[in-house]
Amino acid sequence: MIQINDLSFSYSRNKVFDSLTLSLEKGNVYGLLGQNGVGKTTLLKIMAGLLKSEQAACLVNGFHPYKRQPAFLEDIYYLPEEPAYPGGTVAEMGKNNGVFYPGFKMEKFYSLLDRFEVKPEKRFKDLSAGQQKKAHISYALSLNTGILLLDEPSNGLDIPSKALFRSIVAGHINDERIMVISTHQVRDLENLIDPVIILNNQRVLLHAAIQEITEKVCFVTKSDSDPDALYSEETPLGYAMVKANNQELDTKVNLEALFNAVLAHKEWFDEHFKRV
Amino acid sequence: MIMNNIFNFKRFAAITTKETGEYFRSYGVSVISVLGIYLLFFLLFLLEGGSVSTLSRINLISLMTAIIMVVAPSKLYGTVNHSRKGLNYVLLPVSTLEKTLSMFFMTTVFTTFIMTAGLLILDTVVYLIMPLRLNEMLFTTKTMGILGIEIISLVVIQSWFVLGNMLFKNQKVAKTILSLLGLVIFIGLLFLLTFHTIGYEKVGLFFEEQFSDMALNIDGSKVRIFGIGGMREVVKDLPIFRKIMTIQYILWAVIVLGCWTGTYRLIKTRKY
Repeated sequence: MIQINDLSFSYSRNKVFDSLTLSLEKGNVYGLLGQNGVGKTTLLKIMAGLLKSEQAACLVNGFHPYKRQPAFLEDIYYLPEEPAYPGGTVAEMGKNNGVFYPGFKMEKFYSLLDRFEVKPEKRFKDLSAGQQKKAHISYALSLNTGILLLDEPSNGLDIPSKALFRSIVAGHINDERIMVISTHQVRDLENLIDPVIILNNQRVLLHAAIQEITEKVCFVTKSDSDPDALYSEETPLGYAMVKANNQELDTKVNLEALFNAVLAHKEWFDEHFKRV
Repeated sequence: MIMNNIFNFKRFAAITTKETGEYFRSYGVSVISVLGIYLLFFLLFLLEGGSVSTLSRINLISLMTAIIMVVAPSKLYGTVNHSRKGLNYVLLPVSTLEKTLSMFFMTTVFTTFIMTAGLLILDTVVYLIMPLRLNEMLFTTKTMGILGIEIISLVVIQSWFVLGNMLFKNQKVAKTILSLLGLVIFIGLLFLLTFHTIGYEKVGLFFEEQFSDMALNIDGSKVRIFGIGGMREVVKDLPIFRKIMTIQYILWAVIVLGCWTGTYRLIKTRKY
């Protein structure tokens, strides 16, 4: 479990979070959304222990992340947006580093590499950026850590690989694991992330499960714009809108439209969604 | 549980094994190149026709080992404080103490052993091929003692480079050399200031008094046996020298401990 209580964080004079409070439970794949510079990576780094927070402000599985104790580190993995490639081959990365993680299985690593069509005997420096990313994702998933923090994991992946990534991640969701995926490319992760966390202006704008979102707002496309819509966007098929779900419609969440609606109507979402 | 998060031998063995496995990929070429350079120097000396003295060989081995030892921290652990490349290292589930001890083993123990052993084996091979051109084998108690002292002083210097590797983000070796020079100049100025305050004449008189009996107490036979390279052996029984040596060793220990404690703190508290 990840518990963030009244977290404030600044880079010198630039305040990133002000009294941020958030609670993340096992068995979920959290989608961390927000505009550039809103602090998504910073939040992941604080959770991973790469940046310092006050002890009471962030607790991960009962540990203060910044202490970087082995018992904490062996149950968490943070995959940055642009991971540095290690020397040697892909297989060597698993062999040399996997031994430190109790849940790591080399067979699983090989099987994921096989699904991504990455050859384990290839040297990292000989792989394209996309292939390196796939190797890192395979490694991250094969560690079997209770907490997996993925920063923009679909960046650099080609279209078939993005679909494969979704399918593989979906296969790794279980009741004992928390996944937090930070992304700009919400369409890459639609149908995968639940709940959704939207950060803005040093705080959490929305933290809600997909079910709660679909209960309170609906996503419709109509030929004419509706002045009551929380958000409206012209598309080739008409106007894609986000509206208050007064008629209890059961619609599929459009994450991009939701994100824009939340940014445009902060007060409405604040009022209608309970804080978790 | 608390102890387990500070030091666990199994984890320490695992990280040391991992780093030993990766050692030659990061530093193998440099180690082999320096061994090659030593052999080349040797051959050039011998081609000139003369013999190579024991002291020259010890000095050459010390120089080569020094180069490899001061460059080792940045070659092996240069990316540790890098905001992107350092993540793999810092997030590895191993305690800071285990990481620091493994770093000490790799940079100080393993590197020094590989280098001196390699150079001594090379030297012995050359000696066995051309025994008449070299005075003696280096594998003797006397020469090993001199080399041992040289290596201990190199460990002290290296610890400064280990700290420099953690403090500086780029051009680590060059910046550490500059900082070392700065430190030497600062200490020199401090001494000058102290002598100036006390009075140069008083300081001169003090040293004159301390060293007045020294020439009388030197065992002349030892000078003949050990030569100039073994000066330490000759004067080591003199009380004043022993005092100086004790102070020196305490100072060395403080420097080494200070630098490694600083390195530990920097690994533990570095933000990425």
